[in-house]
Amino acid sequence: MTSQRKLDELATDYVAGNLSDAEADEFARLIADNPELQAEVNQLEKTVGLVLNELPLLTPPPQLREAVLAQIESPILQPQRSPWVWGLGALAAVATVISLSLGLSNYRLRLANQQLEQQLLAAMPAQQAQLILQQPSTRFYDFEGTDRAADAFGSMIVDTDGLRAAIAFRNLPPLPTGETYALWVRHEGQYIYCGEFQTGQDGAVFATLPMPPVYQSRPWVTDVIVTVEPTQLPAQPTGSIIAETI
Amino acid sequence: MPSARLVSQSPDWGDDTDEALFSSLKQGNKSALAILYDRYSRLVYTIAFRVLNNGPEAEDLTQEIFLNLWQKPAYNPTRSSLSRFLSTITRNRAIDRVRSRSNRRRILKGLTPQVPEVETFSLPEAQASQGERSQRVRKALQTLPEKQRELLWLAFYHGFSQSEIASHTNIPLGTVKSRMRQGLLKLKEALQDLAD
Repeated sequence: MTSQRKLDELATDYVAGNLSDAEADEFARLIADNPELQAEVNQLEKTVGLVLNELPLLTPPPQLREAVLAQIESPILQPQRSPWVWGLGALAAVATVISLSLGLSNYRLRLANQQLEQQLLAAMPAQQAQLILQQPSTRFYDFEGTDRAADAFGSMIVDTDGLRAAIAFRNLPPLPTGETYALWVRHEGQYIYCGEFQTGQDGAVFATLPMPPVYQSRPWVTDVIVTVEPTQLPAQPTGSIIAETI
Repeated sequence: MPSARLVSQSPDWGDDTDEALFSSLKQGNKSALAILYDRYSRLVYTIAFRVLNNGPEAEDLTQEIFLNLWQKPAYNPTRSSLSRFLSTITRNRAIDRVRSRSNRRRILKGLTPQVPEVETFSLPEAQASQGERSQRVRKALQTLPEKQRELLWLAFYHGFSQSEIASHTNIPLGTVKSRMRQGLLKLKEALQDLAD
């Protein structure tokens, strides 16, 4: 028979995360047929909850909750993080600068893509460039503006292992309050939300965004669009398409 | 931390235990994840923010922690409470990111990595939600012996493992465990009616 003192110790050590392997096994055996021990644990957990609520906690942005819940609607794939993700932002910025210098036409943009990689490699530190070349899971997307933003264009580089993207756009008009640009990818006849962003006054965007697991599906997703949406984002795009992949 | 976003509000804890919600989550119940998010997202985000010192990265990590809980839960309910698991794993993942970030900076710029400092225990100044329950909890925390309170603070608020606490405070591991036990039990006794 385990003493009450021992049970109390196990319960507090469990809640505090201090059980050794042997104690955890013993605890699992004891709690299985001891409702009082379970009640003790529940009460300790509620106590911790009460205390946590008094601590100076930061509140994450409300849209994060929506993003988490929206992503669980997507196919379940385990995201993995690769070490070069943060280099993506710099790459996208360089890509945009190079694209700008090459002009706005889609033809020239496409033609430029072949040269782009070489120029990017030359522009980036050798180690980082080599890392990116070694990543078969890197996807590059180029965008053109639609009639609603004829001068807009952009690039997106997606690390499909780490599910992060670096995006860069030019000439996207700033939006009024209450509206946002939203990025969507088409998959199996539906659009999947990828993130939202705003432009600066100069119409430029530079951001890194987490991407949904659909970017790991095969065949690779190819159709990505940018729409204007209300800040209370709908489940599917409802606004005008401003830019799309070419 | 940006004080304007500090809050000390008490979301309705609800009747479901963490264990019941986690079990429901594993069976594919999305609303269970939503409740656990409401319960613990502030804790996860706060720990992430404190280590990473970067809002977007803290958001990204918070999202990762909860998506992992849904997609491939590493949490084992027989090992520890969910709050403890979440605080520890958030801190570990955040530190991984800092190390990774520091390594890249070192390679690229020759910078020395910085270790985030650990704040000592402090409660925010009077908040709007100073109800009776809030005052009771604050009083219970303040009357706890400092050496017990600090260890619980390091564990739950910072996400330190018990061995990290022992190393950080230079207190033997066994003493860390016993002080945390005593602190938790005192808090439970002081707040028994609120936690029923």
